Amino acid sequence: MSSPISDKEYPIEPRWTLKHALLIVFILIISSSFVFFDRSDKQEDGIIGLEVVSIIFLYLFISTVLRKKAFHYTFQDDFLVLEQGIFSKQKRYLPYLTIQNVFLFQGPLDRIFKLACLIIENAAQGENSLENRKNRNAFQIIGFYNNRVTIPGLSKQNAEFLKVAVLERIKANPVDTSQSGL
Amino acid sequence: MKISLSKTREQFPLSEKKILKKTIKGTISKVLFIGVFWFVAVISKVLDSKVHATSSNAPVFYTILALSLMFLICILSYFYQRWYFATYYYDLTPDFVVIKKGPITPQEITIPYERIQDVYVDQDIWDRIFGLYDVHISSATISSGFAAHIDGVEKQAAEGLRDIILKTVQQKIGKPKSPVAS
Repeated sequence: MSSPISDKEYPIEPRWTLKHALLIVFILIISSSFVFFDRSDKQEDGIIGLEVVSIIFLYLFISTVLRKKAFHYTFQDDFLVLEQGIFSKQKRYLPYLTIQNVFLFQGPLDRIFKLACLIIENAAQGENSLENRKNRNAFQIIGFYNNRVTIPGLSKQNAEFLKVAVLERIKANPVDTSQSGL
Repeated sequence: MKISLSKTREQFPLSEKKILKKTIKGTISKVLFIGVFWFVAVISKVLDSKVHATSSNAPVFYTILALSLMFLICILSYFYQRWYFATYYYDLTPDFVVIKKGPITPQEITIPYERIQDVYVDQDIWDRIFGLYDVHISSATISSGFAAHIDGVEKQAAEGLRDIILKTVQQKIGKPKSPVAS
């Protein structure tokens, strides 16, 4: 029995929150600039717009911090155990032998902050799976949704270590040859 | 530029024609766009100078500007594609297929052979012109559709990659063949 690997030893780095805040600011600036352009003749609307934008920013930022705090993962011998949820808690047990692919990703902001995102996918088709298909590039969402587990904000070194750890566990849990490969 | 070689890439190399193909494919629409702008700007200036019976250096200036922009886009795109080509990594390890691409925002996908659903080889119109092939490796996930492909290999390499992947998949999940009834 190897000792379990968890978010305690390989945490989501605090600077990921800062990176995410920058991303939110960037998106809000882009989207709110359209509103300001549209209503440039009405200054009062502009002031209300700024308040609204600040509230949206606070909401998105705080929810990100809380989601990060609520998300936990543990690599056990047979399962990848995941927990998430601020109000409604969810726990997922993902057998290594169902993992379809492992994805390591670095966006432009990840490069600046020296972070990496690990994505683990199986073939599960849960609720809203069709909507999720349209949003195939939604990499930076933390936690699990449908067939995808996203662990963002890892240091490059930790992400590489976790990737190897998952691959070793996939190897240690081979599929019965009578299966179709799914 | 140092090429990130693996045993697989040494055995089944990417074609250098890929650099040229991707440069042309990536720049042609931008060059045409600038060309159309240049044409409209020059024609309007020429007509304007005829109406007002004045002479202007603007058409020459527009021509130099358009040509410089086109040249700059082509050069930048060419060097980016060379960089992309050099960092393109793929390896068929005994247990996994590993594909890593993207010099600025790297993404790495690892697929266990047992999860590969099919392998297909295709050519778009640019591949037809340059005699190149794309080898796609599908697992049951959406990400594998856009990340798990080795593009820009010549026919021999494409067939070699396809054969070796299919053979390994067969070894990993296949059962001994039984004769077909009737």
